[in-house]
Amino acid sequence: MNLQGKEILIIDDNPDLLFIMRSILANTGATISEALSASEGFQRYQERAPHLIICDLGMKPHSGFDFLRLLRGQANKLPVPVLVLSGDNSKTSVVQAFSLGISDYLIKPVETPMLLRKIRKSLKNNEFSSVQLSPDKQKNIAIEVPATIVAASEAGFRVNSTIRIAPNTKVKLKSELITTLQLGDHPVRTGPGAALSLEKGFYQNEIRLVGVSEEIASRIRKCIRFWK
Amino acid sequence: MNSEKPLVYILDDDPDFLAIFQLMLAKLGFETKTFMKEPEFIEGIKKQKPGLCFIDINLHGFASGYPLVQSLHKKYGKELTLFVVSAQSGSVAISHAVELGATDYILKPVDSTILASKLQKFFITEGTREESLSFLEHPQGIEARLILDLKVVEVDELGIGFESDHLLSKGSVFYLKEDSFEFLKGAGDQLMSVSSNEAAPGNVFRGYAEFGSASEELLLKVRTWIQNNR
Amino acid sequence: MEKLDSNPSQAVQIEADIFELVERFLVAKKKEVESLREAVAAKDFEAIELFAHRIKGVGKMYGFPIVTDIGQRLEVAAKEKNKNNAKTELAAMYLYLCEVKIMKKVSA
Repeated sequence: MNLQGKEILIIDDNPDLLFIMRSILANTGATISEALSASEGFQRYQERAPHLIICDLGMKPHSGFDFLRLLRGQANKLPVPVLVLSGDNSKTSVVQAFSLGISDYLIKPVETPMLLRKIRKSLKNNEFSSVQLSPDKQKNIAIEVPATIVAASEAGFRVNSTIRIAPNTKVKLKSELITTLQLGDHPVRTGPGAALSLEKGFYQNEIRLVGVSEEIASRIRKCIRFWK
Repeated sequence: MNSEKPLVYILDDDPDFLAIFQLMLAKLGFETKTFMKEPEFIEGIKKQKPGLCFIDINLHGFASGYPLVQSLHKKYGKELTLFVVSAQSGSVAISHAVELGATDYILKPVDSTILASKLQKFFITEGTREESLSFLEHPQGIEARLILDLKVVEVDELGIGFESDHLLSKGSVFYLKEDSFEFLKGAGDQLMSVSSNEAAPGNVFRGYAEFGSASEELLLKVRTWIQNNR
Repeated sequence: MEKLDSNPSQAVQIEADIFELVERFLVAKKKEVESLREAVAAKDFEAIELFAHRIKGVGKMYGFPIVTDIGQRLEVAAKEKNKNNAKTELAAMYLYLCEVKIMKKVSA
């Protein structure tokens, strides 16, 4: 079973059990973290942001139930799927655990195939949550897109890239050519027309220099004459 | 092609400039109308919208051109192309004019070649076609990077969901800067690979980009960030 | 357009269709410069600055890059309220406007 990229946290006060679990999961590709108590378990949860927690119930001084309640906090469900692995077979324990929102309840000792099946099921049914940014939190971030300058003139540049930029957009162009021409801080915008569609997935954008002084124009002309 | 000459308006309080600039534009194949005062200019636009306006930013010695540009842009938006004209060459002044809605910026004294090349993007006339600039063509291309804004709407453990005015082709790559998100700090630019990008209502594109060649460390940082920001 | 050397006796070539306009320009600007002598005496730097700012913006367009250059320096002098520099640049402008020769460009 391939659990590559998954993080699993195992909480049990019995180090032997932790060792066994680690061996069982050794070849799955999952990253395993461990904790010997409920409080350590909560700390590890915050540090490792696991996809799944496998947790014992009968721990002291704080039990697995304490851990579940702590994990749940004020919400009405658990933030991450939890598989309980306990020696306690009583109905009350089972009901109480499920009422706290666990994914499944396994009785020790558990058979390896069953354990792996339950782990796979829990992971499958619970995608790691995402953060949906509310409109006021949606960030405008600056990204860098690789591009190629294919033509230059006093008015601006023609730039090929996998991005088709909307007309009249403020952009920044970084290149050795731009540095040579000392245009690093000079305002540039895309042209008023639509960018040209080239072969599949490539576009030619018109990047025009705004406010070209005689100084800049002559620098560009010299550069063009030099390279022609 | 349209045999009518495109109409441009010029607002400037210097009669010497108006005289010579008008001739320059006529030579490039434009019909011109000149104005020396703001109110007449505004009226003129109301009566007949020109293809383009040239506005002197230093009308009567005050930078009173700026508020005019701003209000015209607000009123007419894309319907009116505004070029600011000024003797000021600083990039701050230029950026400011553009922020307020000017499409381009012409420096005084006006160079007819530069003028033609800029106008060429908007109108093809006999004049602008002829005065075509020397273009340096570089078939292999010079390596460059385009920097622009992307709006992030979602973060999950494998990548980010974004919204943009621009189209990023599927399979294309871009870089997130270190300071965009807490989980990227200290790791340098992060390579992203676009896995989907589709047109969405409102004339935007919605897409998803995955963290490319992400280290375990990064993925952990992303997960803990998500956990803390849920 | 090549930069002219500062020898004003070398004639500036002007396109036929704007020749008259350029002639009128030279005459008018010369008169303006003459009247600005009073401004210098009266330390009316604002008037000088306005003149300089305008002429620097059009000089080259009429065919006289030197007028733009002198205009730039005159503007600085007026902004700095430097009477001596203003006098010097104004004189340079006057001299140039008097001595520059223009001729109609012969099309090939």
